[in-house]
Amino acid sequence: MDQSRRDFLKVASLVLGGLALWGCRRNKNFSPAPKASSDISLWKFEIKQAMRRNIPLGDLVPIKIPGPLPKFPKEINRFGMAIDLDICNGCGECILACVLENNISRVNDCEAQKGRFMHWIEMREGVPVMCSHCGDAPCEKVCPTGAAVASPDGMSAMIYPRCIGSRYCGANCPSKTRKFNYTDARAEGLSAKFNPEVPLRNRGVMEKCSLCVQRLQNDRLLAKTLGKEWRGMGVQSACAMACPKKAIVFGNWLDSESPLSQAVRGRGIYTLKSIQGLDPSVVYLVGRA
Amino acid sequence: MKGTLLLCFLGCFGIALIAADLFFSTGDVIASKNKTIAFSHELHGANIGLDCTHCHTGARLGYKAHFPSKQDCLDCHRLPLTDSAGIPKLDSALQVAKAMPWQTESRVPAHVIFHHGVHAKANISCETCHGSIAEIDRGKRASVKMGECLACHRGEKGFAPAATDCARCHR
Ligand code: SF4
Ligand code: SF4
Repeated sequence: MDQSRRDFLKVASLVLGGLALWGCRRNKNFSPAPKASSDISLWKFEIKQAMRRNIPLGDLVPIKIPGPLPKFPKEINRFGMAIDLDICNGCGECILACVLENNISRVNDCEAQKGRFMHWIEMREGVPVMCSHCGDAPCEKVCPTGAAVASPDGMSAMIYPRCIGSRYCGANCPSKTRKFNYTDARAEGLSAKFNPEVPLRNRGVMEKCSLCVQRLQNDRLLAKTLGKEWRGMGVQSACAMACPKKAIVFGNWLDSESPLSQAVRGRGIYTLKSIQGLDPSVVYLVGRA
Repeated sequence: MKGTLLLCFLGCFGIALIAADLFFSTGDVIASKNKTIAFSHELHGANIGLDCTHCHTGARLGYKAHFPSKQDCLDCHRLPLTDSAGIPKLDSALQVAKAMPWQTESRVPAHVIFHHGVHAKANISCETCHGSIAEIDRGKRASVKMGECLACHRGEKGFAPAATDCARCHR
């Protein structure tokens, strides 16, 4: 009796172990890599899928207008955005624009079922939510390699080749806007290079809204080459450009001429309750102040 | 015993690497089917005194320094410029050359930006990164490590200090 029970346990554990291993297998070892496609309708479909999730927004709380960053008191620029919730109708055009601007890859079915999409903008109760580029960013404080790092221009930057995928930053971000590449999108044919200016990210790398850093960098280099003072006038993020209602305004918080400073004048400035007190650069506008 | 074997292996590997380097770094040539002619930076730059940006347009203001097309060569070489014996050889090579005789792939990785214009504006000469004309003619290509960028940006190489914030060059 004892003997047979032992045998049974042996066989059962072997079978279970085998099944577990089979479940963990990397797809590409068993099936040929699917052909990469840059058909935009695939991304559009995925965005629709992502927008069907019910992600709670949480409360919005009023904050003061973002000012100079305490970390970089001498800088004359701090870029950011304001999303006017009185105008935004949650259509999701910004998500597609962001995806195409930043070569954001799709995810496989397994990840999609878990609701883990790579889009840097997420619709939460019809409100677009992306990284707020906190002035006092908790994500940067826990990065063991310095891949998540503050930029003097007001962005919370990501230096992809430095990222070792510890995911501490994602765990410490109160607004949960960081996205981790669980899968090798290139090997699975899920990524496409829509914009040659932006590198594709590897598996095991964290990513998030970059405030379209490539556009700011290009503009800065041009201004410096021409010997002009750089205030980022004229630069727009991809999401701001794509919004059919012009609900997203991109600009420089420290420049009173900037469209951003103009747009927030007299308006109520809000942020997610979870990042209240972290000095975000991306804010929401609701009603009059 | 094991150590000797390893040493032998490493030695062979090293020799292979050096050989490969010698074999592949042959300088710039106008290459077409049978007619190949070396392009001399020495002759065009040092002797005639052409500025690098004359052929590598974009280096002064733009993001990238470009390579000349065959048309650009022909702008000057349509008529024989000297009575040097090499001219007929050059003419026949140019006649059969491809429209874009030089093709290069940038060595700057996709996550790094290097803007030529902004460096030119800061009075950093091409030679600082690309080496002397003689070195270029021998086939040297600029290969700059991030540490070298940083040393210069920190002001350790005799130029004014520049930005050292990650997101100024990385994306
Ligand atoms: S919103 Fe999250 S990811 Fe963005 S800076 Fe703040 S803590 Fe970091
Ligand atoms: S600012 Fe750029 S990166 Fe950020 S959400 Fe908008 S489009 Fe995406």
